[in-house]
Amino acid sequence: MTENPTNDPTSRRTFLRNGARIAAMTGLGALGGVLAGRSNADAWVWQIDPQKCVRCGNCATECVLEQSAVKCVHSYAICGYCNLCTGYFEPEPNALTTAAENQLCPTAAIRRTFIEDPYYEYSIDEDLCIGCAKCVEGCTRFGNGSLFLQIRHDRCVRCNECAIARTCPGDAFRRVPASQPYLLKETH
Amino acid sequence: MNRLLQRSRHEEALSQSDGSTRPPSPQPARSGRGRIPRRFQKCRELETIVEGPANQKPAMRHSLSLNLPLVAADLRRRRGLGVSRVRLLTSAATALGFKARTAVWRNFSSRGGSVRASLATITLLFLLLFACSALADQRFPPPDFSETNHELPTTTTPPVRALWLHYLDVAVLLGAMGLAVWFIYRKRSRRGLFWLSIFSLAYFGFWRKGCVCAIGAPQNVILGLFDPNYTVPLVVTAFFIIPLVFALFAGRAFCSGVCPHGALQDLVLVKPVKVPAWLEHTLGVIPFLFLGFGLAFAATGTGFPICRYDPIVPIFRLNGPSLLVALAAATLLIGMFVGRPYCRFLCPYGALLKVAALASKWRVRVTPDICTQCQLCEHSCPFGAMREPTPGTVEPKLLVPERRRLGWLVLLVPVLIAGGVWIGGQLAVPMAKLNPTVELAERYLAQKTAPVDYGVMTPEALSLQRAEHDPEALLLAAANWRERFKLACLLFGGWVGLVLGIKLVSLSLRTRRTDFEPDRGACFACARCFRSCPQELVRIGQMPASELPGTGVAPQTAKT
Repeated sequence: MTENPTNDPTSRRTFLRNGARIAAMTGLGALGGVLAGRSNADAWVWQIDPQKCVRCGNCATECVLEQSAVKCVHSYAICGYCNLCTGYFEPEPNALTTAAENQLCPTAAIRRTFIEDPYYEYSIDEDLCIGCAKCVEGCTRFGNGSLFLQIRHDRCVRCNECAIARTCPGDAFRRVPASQPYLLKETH
Repeated sequence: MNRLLQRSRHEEALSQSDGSTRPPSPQPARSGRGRIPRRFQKCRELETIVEGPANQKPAMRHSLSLNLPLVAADLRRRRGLGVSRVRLLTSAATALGFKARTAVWRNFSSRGGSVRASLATITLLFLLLFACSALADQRFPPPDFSETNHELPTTTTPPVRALWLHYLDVAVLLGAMGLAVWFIYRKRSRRGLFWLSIFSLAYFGFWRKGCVCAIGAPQNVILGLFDPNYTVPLVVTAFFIIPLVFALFAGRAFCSGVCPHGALQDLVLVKPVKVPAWLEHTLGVIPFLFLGFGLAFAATGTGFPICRYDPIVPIFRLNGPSLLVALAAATLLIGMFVGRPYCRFLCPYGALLKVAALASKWRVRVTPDICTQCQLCEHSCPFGAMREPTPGTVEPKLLVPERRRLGWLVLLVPVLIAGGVWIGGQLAVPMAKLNPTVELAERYLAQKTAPVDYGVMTPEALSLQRAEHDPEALLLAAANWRERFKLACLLFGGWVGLVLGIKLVSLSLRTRRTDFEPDRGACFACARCFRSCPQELVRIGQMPASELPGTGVAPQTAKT
């Protein structure tokens, strides 16, 4: 680059550069204006629509995290507290006990607690849950559907493009406003 | 039936029944089913139980179906349901619901792969719907725990990161950018930039796990422009615009000390080797192409490839798909010997910053004093950004063929663009398959002509079911996406032609330099070259002026 001090103080290159900078600033300003006009302060987060979820099992394997950010959650208000919980027990279980061979969950992430005859409460241990949706399938198909999958926002790293959403066969993933980040089930 | 009822009602009943062990369920013949992933084996077992072994007549064998009296007992215990009503409901459920459900289940998992929805099943389904409405919302009414007054736990909802923390990110970005500019132009301090980059690596890298970042932001911006349903968060807009504005005034200050990707690669750089010029120029085109690719994909709602295939982010997350982790390890390994390989040869945002930095108001100089052309700074740059002075006079004979070549290359640019557009147009239809909606629509149509067995409960089979639900809407959406893909592919093809053309033209341009100076676009403003300059050392008082080159003292403090 030559800036020849003896000649005109503004060389041709400097002039072009200044012009380009002003043009770029104008462009960025316009772009920012358009985006600011359209955008909102609220951020967007990914969430699963439980009514559209087809319980395929992709959530357990497709997340960018080694242990998926999708976990099973339980809407206790619509749970039947069944003794024979089809989300908890294998089909045709040996016995209605907490023995491992009776459980549907591959990681024994569901706790079964006796409340009163004949009701049992089921709760999810999220550190163990892998989001495989086996219990969700059992509960939704034969029970009240109170078990369902949700992205847990304390775990989700909020990828720009959710890796599970891309492969979700039910098209159940969508962006929701961060002020209402969960889509909890209130009915079957 | 009796046996099972006894067994499942109470555990002691189990011991009284016909034995403590049960013969294992016979396994069905598994031929002709196609491959089924392991994670669906449970579903397969369920299906086996529902259908019965292959050599038997299909029978209702799911435990729930067999345990109807148990369900009735369960229902009877729930308050608010009189015995007669329970009997009515359970009999209705027995007659309709469970049979229908089992029938649906069996159909759903039928051997042919296609759903054989018989008329009877449909009738039963309708009846089931009525039965369900009679049962209110739930199949099993939730209890009210009159005996124990048990309080229902609430479903936990861990909150999303608070909004003010996102604004804090923007504030930190602004602060770090300001500090970087101050370190580069005022303090001229490599040490300051180093510590700033360590902070950025910790904050934007390991604390924020690489998200939000400016590198992926162009995709959000383009999707926000193309898709009226998608709104770009203000924070992402800020991360996109702020480093670009700084680059227009102060060069690539963002790369020097703020970007965690650059900081990490700077950190692992051990022994930089010089990349040959031809390779540098060739690979240097990739960021621009990757930028175009990422924008085309984002604009067509197909995905954000810049984020998806980022080779550094798995390190920040200490987690990730094995292929990407391997890619990350490879990038760092290469980064030990090639300075900042990601920044130079892949980073799409770096491509934007490079263009912006060409028009920057201030530029990084090896020394603010007079360059004595001692050549000591020549090898201080590990990123190949140092440019040597051009010979003062040009042979007039050489000028004519050079100008002619430049003219031809300028004429070649529109040809390249046209070629790119043509190739892009040809690729539009195959590329559209990368869009999940288009892919599903094509698979749905293919299924109509030549059915493929995707197995039971596989994601492919489930998505096809969704397609069959409302094929018209799907096909319409797919056609729309394909149209957008066509436009995006044409633009991307033209962009490739333009980038290649401009690269060729720029190689033939003659620039005149009288001093050693870092290239405006390629310089990451890492400040390594500053202390290699004896003039600089004299200026800051680290060397007496008497030891200026010519006396044989070569300063060694290029690195911090």
